[in-house]
Amino acid sequence: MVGREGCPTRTPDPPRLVPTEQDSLLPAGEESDWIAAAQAGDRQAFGRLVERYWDRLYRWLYHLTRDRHQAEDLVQETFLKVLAALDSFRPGSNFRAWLFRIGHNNFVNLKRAERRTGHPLPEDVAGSPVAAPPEAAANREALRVVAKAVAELPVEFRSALILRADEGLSFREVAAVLRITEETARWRVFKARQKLMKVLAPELLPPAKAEADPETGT
Amino acid sequence: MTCDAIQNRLLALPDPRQVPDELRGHLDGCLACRAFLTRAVRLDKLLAAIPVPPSSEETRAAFLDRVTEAGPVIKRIPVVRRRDSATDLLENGRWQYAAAGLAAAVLVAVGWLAFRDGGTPPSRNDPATVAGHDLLKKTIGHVVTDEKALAKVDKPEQRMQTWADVTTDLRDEIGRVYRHAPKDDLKSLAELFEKVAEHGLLQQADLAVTRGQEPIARRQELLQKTIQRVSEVETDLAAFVQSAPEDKKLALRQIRETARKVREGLTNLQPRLVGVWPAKGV
Repeated sequence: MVGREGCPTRTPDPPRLVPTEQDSLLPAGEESDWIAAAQAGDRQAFGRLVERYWDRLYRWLYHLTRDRHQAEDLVQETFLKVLAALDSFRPGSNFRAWLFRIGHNNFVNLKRAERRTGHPLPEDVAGSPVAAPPEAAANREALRVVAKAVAELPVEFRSALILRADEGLSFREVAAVLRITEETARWRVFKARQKLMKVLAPELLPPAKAEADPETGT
Repeated sequence: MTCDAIQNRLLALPDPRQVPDELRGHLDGCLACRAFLTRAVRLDKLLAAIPVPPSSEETRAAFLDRVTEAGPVIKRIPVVRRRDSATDLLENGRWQYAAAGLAAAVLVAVGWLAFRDGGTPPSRNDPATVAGHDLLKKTIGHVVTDEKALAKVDKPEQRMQTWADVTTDLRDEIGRVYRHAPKDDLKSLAELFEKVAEHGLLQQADLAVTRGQEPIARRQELLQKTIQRVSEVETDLAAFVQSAPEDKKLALRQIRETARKVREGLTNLQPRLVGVWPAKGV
């Protein structure tokens, strides 16, 4: 296409899938050292990576599967695959996004197997979860309601939302993990929040705190 | 901008606590939107605080022990199951996943071993999902037992031989199950055979040719023996196809075709051992 002055007009770029979670460079740090050592065959270094990410990966996978044992199995499978593919990881890239992406792939595989066999993933009966952060004690009821609402979100929305709100990944990183565009990642988080806000508005703001400063929480 | 539009913008922010300047003007003058923002911030805080059942310390510790154990090669590292997992798996139909896990462990080992020697990165395809079946359970177990032997060998030539053992063992097990196994089981076996033969055996053979440590004459001998073994596997599979029920033939033909491709691939490696590289496309 040629514009008014004879210069070619630019067609808009198509949405970019972000297979480039490995492009975002992290500052050199101990994690980079561990990765390099693990790539050189240092098992203890790999063990440190496992320890660093086990809980966080498990937590996210639990949100997806709603089953503690399935989540644990997936965590292990994920680390096994990371170990097998470690030499392909480019130093300086985003290890966390890469790890979570492999975890997500494993979860998707599990869902496919479940659909094929007709054996759905079990839902945990509401038990007594432990280790809630101290500040959550006072908000136990609100948390219970929020947790239930989150569990009822479509898994595509839930996975993106938890990566963003709990794990703190950027939209770009969320996109890399879930193999979607950044715009889609943003949209899923937005839709998840929108749905939760509609369902939970009365629980989210006790009347006494109606005028609190949103940015400080006071 | 309307309040609805502002509120949607707030929900689309990476972090509702970090409000850009272009929205602050409206918020300063709008109580409803300020209250909305307060709820949005609280929602994000609650999301990060949702308690989940803790992961088992025992499971984590056992897994860590296995991945950090000493040894030249990380071999099969079984996923650590909870104590009642065998019963749970069989009774509650979760065998599919366990078997897939074992198959995945084999595939991980294939990828690791191949890549350790500078081969191509392991495939990230899904692991073969093996439907629950007692005979297949034995198949997977047998393959895994052979795979343990891989830990004891270092040279690509030796690994090539061991992977040839795995391939022929898999042929034996296919021979035992193909008449009675469900069609889906055979399909999964076909996928597993492809991974073992193409990504295991053929890749190791390539490494043996290009980076082997044995004298050339010895490597030629080993390669020729491997070609012969795969040729026998191909012949046997052809016989299975002939005698199989109709609904099993497709999967068996797929396995036979894999064996044929691997045999040809191995044959194409032979000229490289004497420094004669085949031209591209030949």
